[in-house]
Amino acid sequence: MSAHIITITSGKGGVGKTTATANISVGLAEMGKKVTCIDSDIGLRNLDVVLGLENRIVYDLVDVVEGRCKVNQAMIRDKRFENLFLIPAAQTRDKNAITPKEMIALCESIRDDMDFILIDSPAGIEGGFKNAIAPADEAIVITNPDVSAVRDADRIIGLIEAAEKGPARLILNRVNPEMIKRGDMMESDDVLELLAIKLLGIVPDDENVLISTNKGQPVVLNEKSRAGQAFKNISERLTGKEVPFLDINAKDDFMKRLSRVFGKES
Amino acid sequence: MKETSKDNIKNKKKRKEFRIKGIRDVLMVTIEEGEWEDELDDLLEYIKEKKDFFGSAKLAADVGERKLKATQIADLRDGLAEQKISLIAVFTSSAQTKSNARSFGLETEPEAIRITTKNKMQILPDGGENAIIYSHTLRSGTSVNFSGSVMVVGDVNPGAEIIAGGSVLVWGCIRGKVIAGSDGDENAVICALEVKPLEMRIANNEIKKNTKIKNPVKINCQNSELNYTVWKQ
Repeated sequence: MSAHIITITSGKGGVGKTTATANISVGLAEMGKKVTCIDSDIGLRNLDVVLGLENRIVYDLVDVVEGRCKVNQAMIRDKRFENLFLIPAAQTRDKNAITPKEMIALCESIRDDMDFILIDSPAGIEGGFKNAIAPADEAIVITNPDVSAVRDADRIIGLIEAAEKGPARLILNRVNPEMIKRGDMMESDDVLELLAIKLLGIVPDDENVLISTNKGQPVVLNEKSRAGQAFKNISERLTGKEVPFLDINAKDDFMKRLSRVFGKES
Repeated sequence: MKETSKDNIKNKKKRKEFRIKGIRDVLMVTIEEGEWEDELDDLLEYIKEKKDFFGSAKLAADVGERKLKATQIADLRDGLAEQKISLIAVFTSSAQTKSNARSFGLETEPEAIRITTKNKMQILPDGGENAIIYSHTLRSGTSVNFSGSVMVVGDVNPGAEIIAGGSVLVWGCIRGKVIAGSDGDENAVICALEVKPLEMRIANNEIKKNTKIKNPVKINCQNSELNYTVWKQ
């Protein structure tokens, strides 16, 4: 087996890269895929917290690169899925602690044992982003439907194309149908028209995401959560399955009916 | 493609070879370790000898981790300019060199070269004026600065800019910044399928703020006023 290496990136911070990485990793692991996620946000690590693996860290990414441990010593096995691993970032160093070449070498060294390797990219377009994108077979750009996040996503898509890692696929995160209806939020279609890349998924705004993040229980495991369902769909699409999109842009009545259906389920 | 540079021996008699790589229409030269002034002299000498090969090329210089002062970069640029070669980029791992190069308006990121040269064709239309074509959307962060006309098959997104001496034709939507006739040429035109720009002007005539035109449009300049020809179904 040879893993498909996916980098999740956004340009702007706080749009949901880490949440998406955690949830997609868990979603893929739940389907029985062998997954390693790598936190490349050195100095500002979060992925371990979202996955609830914070207190198990012994070695990290920089330890592997600098030869203080073997790569499998830094791979933390998830407590829920034995086929899910995390390589955490170092917290006491910065992005210059590793190079794109070292990232490629690290990914290659575990590639044969995995189905998927997901890399959580730091925000920004500097060194950290370059480290994260270097080993990727594919990039997923995540954005929110607001003007500044979309602008940054556009920039990052350009850089992904320049790095010859394109075409990227898009996740539109934290979409609030109520706000779109009031005209207070960019419509998904406008975002897609501007960015002009293939849509991988739309994730609705859902307070369960925050709750589950704080608990270290990725929302994808919460069957009642709409955001969780959306992440599950995204994971399935990554394995090549055709899954219909959640219709967020539906007409008023339909939207209400839809939320009622979801309301009943919860 | 890598032609290793032969010995760096200080034997002055021996002619020095430089590693030259072509990235689309840009030549990239690697300037190895050594005294900057010596290397610079050698490089200029080398280019002079191979004038046929270099022509009036665009050059990017990889100077490694060298810390260069602004004046040293200026020497390189001016030396090259004397031989009709324009220096467009300096690649380096030194922050100091990088910021000095930027102060001259030089590119410092390898991606920039790829972006500006990828999918780009240079054509010479009947009028004799130069034009370049981009066959993809210009995304945020892309800057096109060209003395002739510019054609884009795709959109011009917010955060992208085109500054053209001639006309600008966009087979797509202009959402970013577009300047035609940047040297004051009022005969320049802007054509696009859709126009909702952040900033747009022909010569010194600015488009009204918040202009939105959803149909194909040609904009030209008449008596220092912008004139819109809109195609409707």
